[in-house]
Amino acid sequence: MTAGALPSTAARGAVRFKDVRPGRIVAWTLLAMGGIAMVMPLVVMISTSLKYPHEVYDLNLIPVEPTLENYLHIFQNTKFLRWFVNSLIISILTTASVVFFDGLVGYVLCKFSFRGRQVVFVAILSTLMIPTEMLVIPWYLMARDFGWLNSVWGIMFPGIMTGFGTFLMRQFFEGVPDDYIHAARIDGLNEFQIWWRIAMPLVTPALSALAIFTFLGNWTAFLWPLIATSNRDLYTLPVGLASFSGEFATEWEMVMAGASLATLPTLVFFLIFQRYIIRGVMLTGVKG
Amino acid sequence: MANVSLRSVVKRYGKQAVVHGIDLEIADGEFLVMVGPSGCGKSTTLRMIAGLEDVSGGEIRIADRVVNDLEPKDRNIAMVFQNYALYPHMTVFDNIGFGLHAARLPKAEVAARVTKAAGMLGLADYLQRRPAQLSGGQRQRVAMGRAIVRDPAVFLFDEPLSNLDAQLRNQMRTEIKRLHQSIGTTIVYVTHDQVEAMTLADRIVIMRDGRVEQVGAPLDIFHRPANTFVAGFIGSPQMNMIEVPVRAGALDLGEGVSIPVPPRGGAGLSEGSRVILGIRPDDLVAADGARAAGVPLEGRVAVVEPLGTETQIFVRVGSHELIGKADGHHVPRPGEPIRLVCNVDRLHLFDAERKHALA
Repeated sequence: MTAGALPSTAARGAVRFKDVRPGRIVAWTLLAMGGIAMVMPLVVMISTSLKYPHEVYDLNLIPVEPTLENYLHIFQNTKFLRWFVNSLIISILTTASVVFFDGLVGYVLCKFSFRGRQVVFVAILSTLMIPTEMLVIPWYLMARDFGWLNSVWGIMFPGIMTGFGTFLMRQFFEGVPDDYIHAARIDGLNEFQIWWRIAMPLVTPALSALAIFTFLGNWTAFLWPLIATSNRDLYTLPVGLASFSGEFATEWEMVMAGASLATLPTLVFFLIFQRYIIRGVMLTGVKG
Repeated sequence: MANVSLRSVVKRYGKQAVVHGIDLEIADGEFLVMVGPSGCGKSTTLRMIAGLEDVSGGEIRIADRVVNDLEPKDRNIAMVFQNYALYPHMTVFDNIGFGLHAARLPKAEVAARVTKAAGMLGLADYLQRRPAQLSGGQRQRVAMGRAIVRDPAVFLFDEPLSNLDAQLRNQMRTEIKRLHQSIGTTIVYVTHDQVEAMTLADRIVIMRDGRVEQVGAPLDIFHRPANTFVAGFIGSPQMNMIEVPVRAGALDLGEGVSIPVPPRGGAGLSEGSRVILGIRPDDLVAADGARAAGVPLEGRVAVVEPLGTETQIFVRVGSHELIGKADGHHVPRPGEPIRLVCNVDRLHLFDAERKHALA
């Protein structure tokens, strides 16, 4: 032990203390509170899904008698798996369709000049101002007249193209320099190939974001799927889970077990696509 | 290989004309540089040749075939863009070979041609990299590779060097010239840099406001500018241009200083008329150097800019300030009197109103 060791340790401590500014303490506290608020519902969901019915209304986060019976029950006695697959099919098809068509329309609205382009764009934008609740009745009448009720297509059709996605894609294509398109044109690509092979890869971050939003939106969609089908075999997950709520009582442990399972695909989907949301890739081929 | 000809080519956006009827014959294998300030219509003209802009009037022919309504891919041209426009999601190999792939050439042939082009441009070691992993000069080479590999009839360059730093620009300029010498393909090259124009071109086209001001070989344009615009645009530092009256058979620079009316263009000048006198800084040199033959002019040094190889001096002569040159070793001090000599045979005279050269 030398005498010099002590002051140096003290000095190091002092430096650390100086780093912790009041602003940082406030920031960390707020972040921690926000984090807890975000995570709590998930924790409660998982915890409740592991409880017996009599324990559901206790506020303990760790079940006294943990059980997997609720999971077993929903697999054995409900059409959970069926609903899960329905949701998956509808969400994936809708997402693919939105990414394709919104990308196509957004590109055309951005990179082609034609008479009425602005009018078309504003018309598409204006659809964003109308709430779903106002649209379900026209949708319903339309689906009924075409005989689309109680079909997968009937549940899907309102979502296969979105005004929001078109708007988003158009804005992102604005950032694609025209020279790429000119270069591709000289390279001999036709307009569809230019869009598909040059422009779309350049807006991957936007596409990923749009894909995530669309998938989540369809995965959690409730109102329209509820209206569009009365056939239990065609229920989507949210509609199916809601059916656990009876007229007099709700089986919360079942709802929570179903909901826990329902979050898995969204997590997987997010993990797959989030890595494509890397901005700034687009401009690396131009400028010096 | 092909010749290119433009006949009364017009470009209008709505009612606004930006190119007003250009006529140009570009010979097979020629290196033609279009130069002018921004907004002069040079890039628009190039894009019309490429087929990226519609032609509003007139006719463009490539290899004696009217191409007005042909798609860019059917014109047998290749273009190098100012910002390179390399596809960022593809490797160098794919970037260079993309056009060949699109034309459905066999893979082996694509690979052979890409490798050959990459070899020519010193890119062989970078074929698997992406544009983001290359330096500015390398990206420029890839852009050129993409053009070369297609073996087009005409190369179009749209300010290809303006994103590079000065040193690299000089280096790439030489490479482009060497490339033209080795493959001999017709090149139409657009730039706003007069040095690039002078050094690269077989012929220069100087444009302003959508019109051609002068077409000619670089030295012809330098020595015989058609008007004050061309005279000011070509040559650095700029040509001195001052408006002076003709008095007693000489050009009066004020305060008792005068220069004899030069033989070229001076014949028809009447007493009292006004002309624009143009003197290149190289033709106005400090008298103590070796280049001291000519008409002496007395003046006073205002500003001195030593460049090493030579010294630029701003000299007050009569009631005008002129830029002249001195030997690199000769650095006069501001305020000093100085004697310049001026080569009268090389003076330029321009009409004071219409600004064109007096022949």
